[in-house]
Amino acid sequence: MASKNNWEEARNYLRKMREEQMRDGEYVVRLWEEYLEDNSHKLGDELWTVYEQVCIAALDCRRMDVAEICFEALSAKFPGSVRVRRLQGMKYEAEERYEYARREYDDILEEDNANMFVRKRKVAMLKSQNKIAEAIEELYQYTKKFMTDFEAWMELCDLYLVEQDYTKAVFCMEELIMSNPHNHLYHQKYAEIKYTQGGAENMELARSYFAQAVKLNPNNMRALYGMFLSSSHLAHNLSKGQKDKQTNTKYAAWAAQQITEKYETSQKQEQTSETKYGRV
Amino acid sequence: MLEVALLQIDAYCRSSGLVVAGYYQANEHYNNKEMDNVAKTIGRKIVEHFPEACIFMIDNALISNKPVSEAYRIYSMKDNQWRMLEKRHTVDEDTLATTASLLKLDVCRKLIDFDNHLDNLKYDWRNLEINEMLSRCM
Repeated sequence: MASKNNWEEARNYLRKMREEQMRDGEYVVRLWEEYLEDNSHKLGDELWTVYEQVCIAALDCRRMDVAEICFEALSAKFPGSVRVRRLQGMKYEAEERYEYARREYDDILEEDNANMFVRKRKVAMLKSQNKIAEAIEELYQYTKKFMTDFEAWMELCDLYLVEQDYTKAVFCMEELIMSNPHNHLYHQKYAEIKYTQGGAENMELARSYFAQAVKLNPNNMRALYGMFLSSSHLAHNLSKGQKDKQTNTKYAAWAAQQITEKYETSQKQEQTSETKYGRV
Repeated sequence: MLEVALLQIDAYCRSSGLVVAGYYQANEHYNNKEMDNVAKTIGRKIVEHFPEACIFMIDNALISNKPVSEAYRIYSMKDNQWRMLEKRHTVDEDTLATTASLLKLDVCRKLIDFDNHLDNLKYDWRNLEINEMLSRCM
């Protein structure tokens, strides 16, 4: 960014970050301080959206000074608005004044019971206090109300994984796969959990779901590796007889071949030869 | 996928005469510097291959642009349990200065981990570019 239009480029980049929901607090704050703060009068009505964005970003990286400036500006312009109160709650969170934050959020929910953002903040707040079990309970209640919020299901899955409750984590992934059977990442994650659970039956399921992920996206390296590892395991350690062993060896060989081809087409040879892993 | 990463790293180490001697982890939460199950499991695996291995748990609160020594706790395996080692001097002044300047240059954004590699095989987890930069700084 090296022209007199610096601030415009910074503004456009912030727009892009908002649209794509990129989270990079440090960068947002840097753009703000270097290019936008002194040009804020040029932003017009967009300024308020930018203030909100920068405020959240600043809280993310503990730049309380920046957050304070943005927050003051917003609350002077929109006193008592739900979005400003939401920021107030997040500010309390960043200061680790959780009790204040919880009260702020509860007040908002009393007026607007369907405020998804605030409900999720409450889950995040429990998570940041490392109260995983309570966070799970809160999020579980949330998914009962908002069953189509896929991000929430994914987060619930991850929380169960922290608790190493694989059975329930698997259940969340099943919900997600049913919601969108064409998403290869869901299949891959389901397979990874099954792989972690171990045992012949789970390993077979893992292999099938890795295979489905590969079918949906042939370039998914994690799924290819997963397919290779699960079928090798089945062939070497969990084999149910000669025929089963042969089939799994065949699957493993196929996956290995795919992996090798991918490396040959995208890596320099020197890199491949130094990091190549024995059996492939 | 960790298994894949370890297998590749193991192959790399063997071909260049190195060993996997440790593991470091920084937790998601700013104030959490405890070892969790993931760290313990990985640590155990590394110890199986290299008994003197240790684990570094990063203390997020001590990471900043200003040089601070020992921004981590070191754990090692003793009698089948993870014990925290006494603080001792593990970094010298030069290392601190270099680290601080790397942080200022924002080099961490160039760091490539195994996840980046799996997203796109072109990314090299050996981070040759940063290694080179490091040897120039020293």
